[in-house]
Amino acid sequence: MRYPKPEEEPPSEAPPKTQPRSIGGINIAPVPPTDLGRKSVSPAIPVFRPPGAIDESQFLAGCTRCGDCITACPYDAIRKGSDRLGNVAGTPVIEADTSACMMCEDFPCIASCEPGVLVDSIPPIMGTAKVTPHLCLAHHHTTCTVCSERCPVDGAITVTDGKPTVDEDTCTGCGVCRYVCPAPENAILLMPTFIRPGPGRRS
Amino acid sequence: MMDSKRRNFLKSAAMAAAGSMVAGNTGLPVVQADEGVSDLPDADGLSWNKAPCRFCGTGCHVQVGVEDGRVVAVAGDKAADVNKGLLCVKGYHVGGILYGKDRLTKPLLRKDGQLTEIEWDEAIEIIAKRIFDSPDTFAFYGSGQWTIPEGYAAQKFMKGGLGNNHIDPNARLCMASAVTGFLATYGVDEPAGCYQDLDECNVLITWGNNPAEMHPVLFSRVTDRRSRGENIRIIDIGTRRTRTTDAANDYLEMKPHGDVAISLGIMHLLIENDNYDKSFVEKHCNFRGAEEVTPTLQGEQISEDEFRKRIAKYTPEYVEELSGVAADDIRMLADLFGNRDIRITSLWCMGMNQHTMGTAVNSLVHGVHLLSGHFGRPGDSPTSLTGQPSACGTVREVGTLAHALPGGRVVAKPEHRQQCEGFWNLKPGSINEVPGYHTVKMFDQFTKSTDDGGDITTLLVQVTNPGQTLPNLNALFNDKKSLEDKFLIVSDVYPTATTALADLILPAAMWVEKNGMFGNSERRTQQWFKMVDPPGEARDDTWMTIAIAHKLFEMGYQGMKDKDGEFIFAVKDEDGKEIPVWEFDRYYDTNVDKHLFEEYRQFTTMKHKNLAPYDEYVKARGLRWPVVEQEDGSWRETRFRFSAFDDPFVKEGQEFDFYHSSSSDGRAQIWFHEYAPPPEMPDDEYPMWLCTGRVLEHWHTGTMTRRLAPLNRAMPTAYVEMHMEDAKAANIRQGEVVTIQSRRGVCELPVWVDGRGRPPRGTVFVPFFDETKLINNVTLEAHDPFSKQPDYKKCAVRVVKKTAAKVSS
Amino acid sequence: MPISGLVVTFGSSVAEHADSIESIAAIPEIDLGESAGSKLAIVVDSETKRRDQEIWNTVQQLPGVIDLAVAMVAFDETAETNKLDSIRNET
Repeated sequence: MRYPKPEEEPPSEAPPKTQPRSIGGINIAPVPPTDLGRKSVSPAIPVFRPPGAIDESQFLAGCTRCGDCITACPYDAIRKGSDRLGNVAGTPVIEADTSACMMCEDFPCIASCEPGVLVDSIPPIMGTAKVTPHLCLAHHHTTCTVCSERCPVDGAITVTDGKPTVDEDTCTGCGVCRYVCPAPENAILLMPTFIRPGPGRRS
Repeated sequence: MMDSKRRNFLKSAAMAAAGSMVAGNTGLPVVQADEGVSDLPDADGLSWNKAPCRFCGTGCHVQVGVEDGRVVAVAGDKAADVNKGLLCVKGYHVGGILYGKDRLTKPLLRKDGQLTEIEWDEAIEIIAKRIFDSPDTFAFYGSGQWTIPEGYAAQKFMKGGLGNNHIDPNARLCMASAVTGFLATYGVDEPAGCYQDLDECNVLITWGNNPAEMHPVLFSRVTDRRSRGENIRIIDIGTRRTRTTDAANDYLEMKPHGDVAISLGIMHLLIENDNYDKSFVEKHCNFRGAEEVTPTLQGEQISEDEFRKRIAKYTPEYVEELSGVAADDIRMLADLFGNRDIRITSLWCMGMNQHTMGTAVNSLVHGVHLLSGHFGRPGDSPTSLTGQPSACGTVREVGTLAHALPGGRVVAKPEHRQQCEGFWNLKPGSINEVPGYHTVKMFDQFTKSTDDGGDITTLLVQVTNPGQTLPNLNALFNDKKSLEDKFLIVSDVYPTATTALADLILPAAMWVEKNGMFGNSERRTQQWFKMVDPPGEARDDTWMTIAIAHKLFEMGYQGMKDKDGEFIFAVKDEDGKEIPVWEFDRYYDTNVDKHLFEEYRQFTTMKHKNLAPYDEYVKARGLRWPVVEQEDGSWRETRFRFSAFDDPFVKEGQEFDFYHSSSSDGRAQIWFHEYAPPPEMPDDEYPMWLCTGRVLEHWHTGTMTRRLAPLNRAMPTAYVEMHMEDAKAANIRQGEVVTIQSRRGVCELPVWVDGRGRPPRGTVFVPFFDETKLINNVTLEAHDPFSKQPDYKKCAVRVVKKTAAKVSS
Repeated sequence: MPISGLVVTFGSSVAEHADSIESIAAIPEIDLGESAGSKLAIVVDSETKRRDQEIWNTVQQLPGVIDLAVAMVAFDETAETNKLDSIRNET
């Protein structure tokens, strides 16, 4: 594996700018994209909202950027969206690579939300995780069981013959598995929920 | 609408995943280095070179990628026979251990309680002066992580230069009982077989061993065979369920010390059922028992009838009573051993070594294999694993133990001392005949006040962390705090629990910041070159030893001169001119490792542990000794010792030859030892067993792995594993912090019920990697009478809720 | 309707395989991504598994291609969407 430069750890969104290099003649490092007559697709930046977040457009409209959920989170998992993120800037997001949602039983973030864009009337589902087999150590003949051990949701990660798989029905996308994955390149792919329900009737 | 949105996301996720494999952050299957990679000049400024992994005793090889003087990449080495390109979770991150933010970079001296930076010259002078003033009260505590040349230099400095045998390694805490087991059985140390046994066995028995976590690359050799459809039966005998149990066909849960009874029970049945290997035993074995008055490693010969008589009481039912393993399971094991058509490999590590009957149980398991004839064919092997990268190479082969000399010699024998003095060109009588202090004794003497007879006053520690790993730290280490006349010198790469009490701290170079050689669990000697400079003023441990020796030489200390008056570590160039390797800026003018290794190599032929010249190891991914030169000038390694088909030292016409037999007749010894209960058992006051050990993600005291963010995220804290019913009965919740108390100390830990390991009721397990939660404040220093290795695997504790603990105290 | 991220490895630098890359680019279901050295990232977004397999075979057989590796296969979309709906509709 290639290590990130010290000033760049933990891995940031931008790929490290490095010199071209090779292993045994096989080039493994990035070079500027070759112009092949087509534009390459720029990766979308997935945004993870705290648990109980309502439909994204209503969320953006309703969130006052007060920061109460950020203060309420006992694990510092909720942060202000970066200024670079356009209209997401200042709104609460979770970046599992920095700190994952621990799925508190009482969801203090939801309880703290005055404007009601985090609600307990919808399931606390932020997205879903997927194990990328070619990156997962357990799929490469070596023991590793961290993701299933640390997953805070019962039954979301099951292990067969030592290899983990995510049950997408149960997974809440909290990102703990991604946070703890010790593989040289993180073997957990997290995807945010695309369509979230509106606030619904509050109980 | 939703479809296309989601689709676009998925496409970008797929593109990101594919892109990441193309760009820098390479996926596992892509990055493995090709064979011969190290020979290729790299046009891009990244150079690759081989090194064994810095962590455990498996001895995987990695390819280390260096750019601009910095290790920037690591890949599994496909050319390495040990790991064939595979690494474990720690191995993939091994390069990062050099770059923790708090590397020690300057010598530090404690002045009025404060650590103050000093220059190296001053540091070396302080040490030399303390030794000069009182050479006999100086002790050197080393490590199975010492490279072979580091251990050899320390050994020569102490036993040759100072005539002082107070040199012992941390390996005393880790594999001393394996050594005494091999010596008692075969008359010579280290396994007869090799890792190939794992590729060929039909049955693998893990005795109190958890290779799935502790030696994962080795364990995968077995599980891979299974996933290819081969039928291999794994039998896990242990005191708690582990990740190895998850892969096992049978799990036999034993009580602590049950292994002693089980091995006796198997041998009893082999004899009772008359299906032991009579021809093998008749031709190649003797029976042995301990002397009644003062038992020794040699023991006394007993007849087969006497052996039968003594073992008769270990019926399956009696063994069930002692071990907790069902009588039928003992019969099942005995039937397997009674079947010569299958191949059986036994693996063990700390479970059988950190054991107050360690020598006994090691000998007994060898005995099971010998009696049944499951020995000496590929796949038929009793094999101990080591936890440190050079416990075998440096400690067991160089002999950096209080009683030993290089090459399997001992200080107590006059002819061994004379030989050694000859190789070292010393005056006769230079080497002291009295063995020095073993580890527990050494620290006991160091942390006891001089007035009370504590006759070790200066202690130099290299490459290890006794402040965390000694048992019963309150008795053996922590007392140092109040003893002002005792002087602790610690060479290390990061601040540790040991440097916390040090009077002088020496910043050390590590791993590929220096030349080195290791010897792994299967007798494989490995070599690597320095690839990057150490940070700041960190320097090689070998250099430190030589610099101290030379300072003593300058001060006129006679022992640092050989009988011709030359410095004992003199290194000369081709013109016979001395190279001042004691000056660090001249240290790499030559390859000091090579000089030391070639000198050490002379010793290795005395017990048929022959090593090849240094340059052969430069070419190879390690070679297993004995390595013997062939007629064509090539060097051939040995996979299976004592077996005629592979071992060149077996006498012509013999199928097997134990050529270092302690009975001098070419035979191995099948031992009888009586079962005895552990020294401390749970009682009303302390009702639980405590077992300690490691975890997959951290290596030993975590000083390296805790500084690697991915590993520390994966395993951020020590914990106590507890059975659900025990937790319920004490009203303890998952994750609650409890106090573990023993007669010796306490430790606070969060509870993990149904965690990675699952102890039975009445047992708790705590890993020792976490410097903030020192479980060795709680453990017991009781040790094996022969190996002097302490038992970290069993003592009596109670688990107390913190609120309750406060009320009671 | 499978979506997969693949890595094409050529026997030598990508730049030397313009013809093969043109052939890849000509397949309408394929998007080209980053390339470096001898490797090229592509995404295949096809209507059926069968078509996905056809594309895979085509790419693999192109001159100069020595390896084709899967970086990610997306979830089966229809099933996935239904599952998500079922969770979301509980309240």
